[in-house]
Amino acid sequence: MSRGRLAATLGSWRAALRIARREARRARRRTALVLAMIALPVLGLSFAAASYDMAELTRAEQVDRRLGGADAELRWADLSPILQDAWGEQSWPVEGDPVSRTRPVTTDELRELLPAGTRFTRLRRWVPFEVRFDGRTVSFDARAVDLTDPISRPLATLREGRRPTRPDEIAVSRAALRRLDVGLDAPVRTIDGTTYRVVGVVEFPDNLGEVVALRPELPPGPLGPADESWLVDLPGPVDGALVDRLNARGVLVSARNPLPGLSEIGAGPDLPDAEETGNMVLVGGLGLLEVVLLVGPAFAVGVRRRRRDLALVAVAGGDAAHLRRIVLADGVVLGAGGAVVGLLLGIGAAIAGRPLVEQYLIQQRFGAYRVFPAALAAIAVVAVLAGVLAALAPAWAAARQDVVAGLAGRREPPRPRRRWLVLGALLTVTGAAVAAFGATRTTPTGVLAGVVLGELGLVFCTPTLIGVLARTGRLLPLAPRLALRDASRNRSSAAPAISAVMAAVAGSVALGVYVASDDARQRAAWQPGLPPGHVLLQRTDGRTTGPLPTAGEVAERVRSVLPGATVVPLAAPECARPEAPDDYCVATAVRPPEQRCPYDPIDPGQPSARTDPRCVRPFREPSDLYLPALVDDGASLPALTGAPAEEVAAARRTLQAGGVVVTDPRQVVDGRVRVEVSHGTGAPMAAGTLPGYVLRGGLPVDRLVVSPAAATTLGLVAAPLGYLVDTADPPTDRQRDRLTAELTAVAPLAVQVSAAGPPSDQRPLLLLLAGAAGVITLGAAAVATGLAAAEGRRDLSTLAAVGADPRVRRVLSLCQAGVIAGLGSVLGILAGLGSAAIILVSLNRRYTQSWPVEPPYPLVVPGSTLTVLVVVPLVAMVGAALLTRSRLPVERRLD
Amino acid sequence: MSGVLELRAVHRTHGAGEAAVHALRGVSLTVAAGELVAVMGPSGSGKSTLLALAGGLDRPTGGEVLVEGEALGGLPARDLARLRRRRIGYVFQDLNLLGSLTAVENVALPLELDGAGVRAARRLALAALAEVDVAGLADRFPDQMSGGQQQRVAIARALVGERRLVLADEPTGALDSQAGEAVLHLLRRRVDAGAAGVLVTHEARHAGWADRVVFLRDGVLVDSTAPLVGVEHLLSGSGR
Repeated sequence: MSRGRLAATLGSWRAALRIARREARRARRRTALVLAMIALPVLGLSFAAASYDMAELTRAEQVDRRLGGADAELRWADLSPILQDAWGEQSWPVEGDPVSRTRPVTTDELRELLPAGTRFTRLRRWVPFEVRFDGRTVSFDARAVDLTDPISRPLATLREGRRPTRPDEIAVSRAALRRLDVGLDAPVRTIDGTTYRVVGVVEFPDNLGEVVALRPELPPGPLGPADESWLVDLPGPVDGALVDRLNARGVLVSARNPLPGLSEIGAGPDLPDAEETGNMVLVGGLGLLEVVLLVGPAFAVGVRRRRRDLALVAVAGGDAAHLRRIVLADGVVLGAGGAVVGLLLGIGAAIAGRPLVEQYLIQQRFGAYRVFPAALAAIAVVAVLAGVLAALAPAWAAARQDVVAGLAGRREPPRPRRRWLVLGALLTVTGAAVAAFGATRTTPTGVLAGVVLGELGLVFCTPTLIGVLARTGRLLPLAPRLALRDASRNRSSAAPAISAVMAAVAGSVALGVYVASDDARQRAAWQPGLPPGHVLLQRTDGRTTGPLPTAGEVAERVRSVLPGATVVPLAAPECARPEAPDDYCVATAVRPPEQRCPYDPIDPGQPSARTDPRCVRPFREPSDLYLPALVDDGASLPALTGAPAEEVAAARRTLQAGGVVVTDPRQVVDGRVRVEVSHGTGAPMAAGTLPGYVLRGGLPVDRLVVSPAAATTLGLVAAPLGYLVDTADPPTDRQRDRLTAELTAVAPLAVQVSAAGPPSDQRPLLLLLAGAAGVITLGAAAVATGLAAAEGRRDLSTLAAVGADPRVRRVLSLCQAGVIAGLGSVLGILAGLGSAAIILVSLNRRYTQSWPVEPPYPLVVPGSTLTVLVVVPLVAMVGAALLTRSRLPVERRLD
Repeated sequence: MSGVLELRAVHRTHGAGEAAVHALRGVSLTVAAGELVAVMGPSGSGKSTLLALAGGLDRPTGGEVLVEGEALGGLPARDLARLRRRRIGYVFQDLNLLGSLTAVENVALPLELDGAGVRAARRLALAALAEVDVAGLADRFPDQMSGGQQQRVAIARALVGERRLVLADEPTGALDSQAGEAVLHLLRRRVDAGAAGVLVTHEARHAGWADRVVFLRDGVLVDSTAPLVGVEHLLSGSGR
């Protein structure tokens, strides 16, 4: 660019920016609208950025939090000598060094390794501290640390009371105090029977949750050396020789500064994941598109209002580029203004809201006050970009306007631009193809890119669509006809508003359909392990505390909570003669070799496996409760399988005759089943072919029940596993809690209820999605209707002059909001359903070929989402009508 | 002597076929430096079209328009804009100024668009304002000025820098007669200082300020005469 042209460009930008600044001040309402819409997302993002930066601790802050007042922390890491990194975060054993020691280093040994005059204090960061409330056991994050020692004292701040000085004293965090529901000086009894006295309230900056600080002398629970460390105060610096000495004993050293001569591992920045970055860019791009579309109408109206001004600039010698620059400068000024306002508010909110975020969101104290300038700069740049992009289409329109018509105040009819329609259609088709391709390759980034591209394409098609619709409005009554024609005539402002609604609704519907379909698919694939509502009481102690209470005792307690329930004991096979102390036995019914699926169950490169009847799985894995093979005489069969009584009776006879019961018919050959028993130690397996009965009428879950006699034949004995409760009705959460409380008193039994469906509930997510789209719809409708009302004052005064009813103004507003919100919603719902269908169909096509067999996605339309999206336009319309004054204006004509 | 503005058999037709409107039909006109030409004619006679063509805001469908010897016909839009920045100034009936710029900034606008530095543009603009006797209003916004003052600023902008052609479309239409006379006096003074001017007006007494009066009717130049008292007879029968 020559110097002259550069000067001309700079000069015209300067003039354009000056005009934009002054215009922003003149059109205050429009400016406020645009500023708010740009500033809001900037506020949210800068709040998040500043909070993130404060929460992300620097190395020095991490070290302070870890070391307190110490010079270094020593941790035992390995029996053999180790090598470590400079910060003491990682260690690895020295290769080739024979392990000669059999126990970790003791405190006294450690003392000898350290220079004379070293002071140290012991610290355990994780100790068990469990208290029982209302029959439930609550675990606290407990640490054993001497908070009176100057070395470890800075680890916590005293908020109330005093620091514990005796082994039976504890200090707790505020949250723990609330949870324990005690005051200072109150006793607290843990489940192991120890009683402590709460003497103070302390705050550990790394955990603002429920924390208990015990004295280090006698920490409860088994003492694992790995979670013990020492904070040391050295008389001199931490030198290489000392580190070598400690490393030779398997002790890891973390000091305030990186240790000399060691490499810093993990100090480099984490490389961002390409997939995740791609998704974030696309989601951010969609957000940017929303802002651009919401702000766009304001600029379009601004250009229409300043038609004459722009024509005057053209008269004074402004060419197309100058005119474009003047409108783009509006975008720059308002984008920058929105960025500044948003950043200031965001930073202010991050600083003001810091205590709340610390306490409730991350449960940690932040580091120093900082704001993440690089991220803020990026956010500001994006905000300015949003302003410029929103002004782009109006700028091009301004540059194209006819100067003579502009001077005369004449409006040119909007000319349909075929190339935009063609571009839009191309983008939509390309987007659909990319999304479909992405779905078959299961790359979310591809799917998202396709959806974004498709939405962009629809945005380009919207103006033409409005034009087409306006032509069909001939038969409508006055108000809707006027509203439709206004939208068509003022396409430059109506189209972005409709597009904004459409994009938000389409995104919400597409995601909603996907989530609902995925949910339905998961529900369809759900396989309860027991008849739904039945309860499994499984022992949790691994037989260390002796025999379980009798079925009668358990039944009595169960019936006090669940009247009418029946209880049967369950037993699992166990090795009669274990090969080793940790040996275990697993019994499985096996199919004859000719019935076995010859394909690898997980290798995907075997499409022919799909058509092999031997590979069709009649059963599904239970989704919730897993049960091993059982040893039973048939008493548990009804509660276990829910099979009809006559089948159960037949099965029982087989068991009483010393046979086995299975549910997979392919395991039975000539009325007999081969059962194999494998040992956990890998010892040779035992096997037997026994009379078998196929129970077909129960749950479609693969089961093997071995009779006690058959168990003996196979070298097994029955070991109590727990109880099965046949309930009349599925227990409620409360009943379940009561049952837990009732049973913990007599036996270590975990209460597990078989559920009819997966526990996930997607309704809140679906409503949130619909709600977000609804808010955008309302916003876009409000903006567009307000702007249309300001534009249409002349028409209204003409209406008044010809004797229109004052109510017409309200009805007109209602219809204008209806055109924006309704059209946007309808287009969005169609686009959303379309894109979801493309994605799901593509996924399902892939599943028709895949091995292992994957169930296809059903196409489920989330009713709640659609209801919200249908109701919101109605709300927008009614709101627009109510907020409009029903007085027709009398326009003062200037000419 | 060749004129600053030269129209050679200019035609301008809007639309085509039956709906065609012939705004100008074979108009030829030359305006020399130091000459003020008044264009008179009834509504719809093509006066404003003539002015739009003269300034390159519109393109003729036939004939040629030359400004200081340069034919506008073949020029791309960008060069026409450059021409308006450097050689041609417009003054309309009202609302000539950008509301968001001060008087001096309005005058400096063509210079700034052309790449002049802020200070140089401001200096030239202040000089132009001084020549139209409103230097004191330099930093006022248009809505802080009277209509007459606004028109003076508009004339200053039309003639700022090197511009030598001022095209005025009813510049006094929105003013009272006293202010209107003052504006025309000013225009005359600027033309006497070496500019060429075209003044479109309805009123014969305003045409009295011109060196020459041309009459347009239905797009045709029907007469051209030196200004005379009682020129109204020429308009008789025009339906006025």
